[in-house]
Amino acid sequence: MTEGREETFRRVYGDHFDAVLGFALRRADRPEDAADVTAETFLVAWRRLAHLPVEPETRLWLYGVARRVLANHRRGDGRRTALGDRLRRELATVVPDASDAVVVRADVAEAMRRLSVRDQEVLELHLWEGLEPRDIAEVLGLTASVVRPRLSRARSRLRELLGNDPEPPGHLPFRPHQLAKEDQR
Amino acid sequence: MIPKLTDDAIAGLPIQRGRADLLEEIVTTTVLDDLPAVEPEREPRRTWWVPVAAAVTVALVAVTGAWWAGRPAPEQRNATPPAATLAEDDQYVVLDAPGWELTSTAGSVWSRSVVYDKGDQNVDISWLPAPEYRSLVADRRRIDRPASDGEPIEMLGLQGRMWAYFPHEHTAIRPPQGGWTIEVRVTGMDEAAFRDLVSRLRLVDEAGFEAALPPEYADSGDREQMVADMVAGIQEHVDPLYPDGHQHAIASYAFDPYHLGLDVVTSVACAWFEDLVAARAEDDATREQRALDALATARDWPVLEEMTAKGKFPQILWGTIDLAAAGELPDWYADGLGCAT
Repeated sequence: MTEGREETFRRVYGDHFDAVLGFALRRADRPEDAADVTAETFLVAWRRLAHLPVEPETRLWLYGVARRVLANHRRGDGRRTALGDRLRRELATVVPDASDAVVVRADVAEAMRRLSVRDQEVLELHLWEGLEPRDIAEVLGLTASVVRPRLSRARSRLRELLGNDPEPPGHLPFRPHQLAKEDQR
Repeated sequence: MIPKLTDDAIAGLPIQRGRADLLEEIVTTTVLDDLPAVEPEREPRRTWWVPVAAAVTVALVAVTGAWWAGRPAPEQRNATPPAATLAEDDQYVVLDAPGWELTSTAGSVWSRSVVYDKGDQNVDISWLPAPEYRSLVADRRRIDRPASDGEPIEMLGLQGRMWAYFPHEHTAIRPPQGGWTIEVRVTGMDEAAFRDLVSRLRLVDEAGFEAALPPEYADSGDREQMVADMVAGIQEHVDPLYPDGHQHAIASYAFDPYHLGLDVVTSVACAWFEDLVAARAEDDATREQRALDALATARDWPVLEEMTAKGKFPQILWGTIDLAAAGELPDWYADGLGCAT
């Protein structure tokens, strides 16, 4: 291990910890699972540091790793990392109380759950992480030409589903920050 | 359920010690450089030339034998077209099983998909140009850990591969034929039911596909007239239909009236929004008012009235127009309305 390697990783960890933990928390069933996904993702990054793309693609690469780690956890065959025990305990305590500054309204979240898993994934990356089709394509390992129509379709379906909502939300916001603001009103 | 917190909210959580401990734990672990690669395998970006961006004032493009509206992104022009036309015989797939309802048709000039629903079960059939096959398979191989070639499955006369995302969610990819590769993804059933369902898919030609559409859907024979009717209804309130100097084509291959209407309406409305933004940037009050007046008529567009029974898009559009009139057009409007895609 060289000093340069460790410094590089510390910078990556500092710059992207909130984003990776956020990605995991928004998708995991329990805060403890999000802690495991975050720990495993950064462990992979540490071991594969030489393969990490330079900014601004670092975060997309980390999202791609986190996505696969999360999928393995969901299938029950992701090994629970021995790392991050304190983070796991802290998150289990503080996250259930954190109710402000959410990225998605309840009615939109409910509608999104009715989409196919594949449409959901593209839409979540767009709405929750604020990614555009080209970036989503990087995370999913696809081309933008595959993602663009998929996102378009997912948005259309979401609009249709919200059309059945008994409590019309007015216009449909597509920016996480906008949603967060509306929820805080 | 865990609240969907923003990254900013996460930065404010009192988890500093856990965060610091994890960092120290990681940097003291042994580095194993021989671990299998996990980063996405990327193919060189390819772009498609899409012929619907012709410089005409208003062109109604209701393409026979092909699908969809292609509002191409700038980077998708000036390159190679897909290897095969979408009109190739027997390249349409229908699900021939009782209880399944075609609920969505979507796509572009370079891809297409249909969705069938039956209660909580969902079948998503996608077509992609044959060159996408490699990257598709490379992505799906990583569903398993370690990555695997999946299981063989008979798929529309060819040997495909299938993978399980979850016990009740599977996907299968058919090797390219006739310039297209087909992926079928199904949620809500186990592997045996998935295999049975895939065996019920049928390849048909365009006529066979259109014959399987619900009666209210537009087929290639009446799509052009339906678009013309929608445009005429709008033009009773907005004439000229587009701002001065705008070059636009309405290209729709949608089969269901809602999406057909959506393609028509966004073509017109997005042009006026774009003009409004430009007018404000140039401090041109006359042009700004003209754009606002045109958009204000949207509440009377017959096509939007018909669409209200099916979905929320009209309300979204009208709400955005109200915001624009109040001088508060949000910067995400293009995304929200589908102008950007």
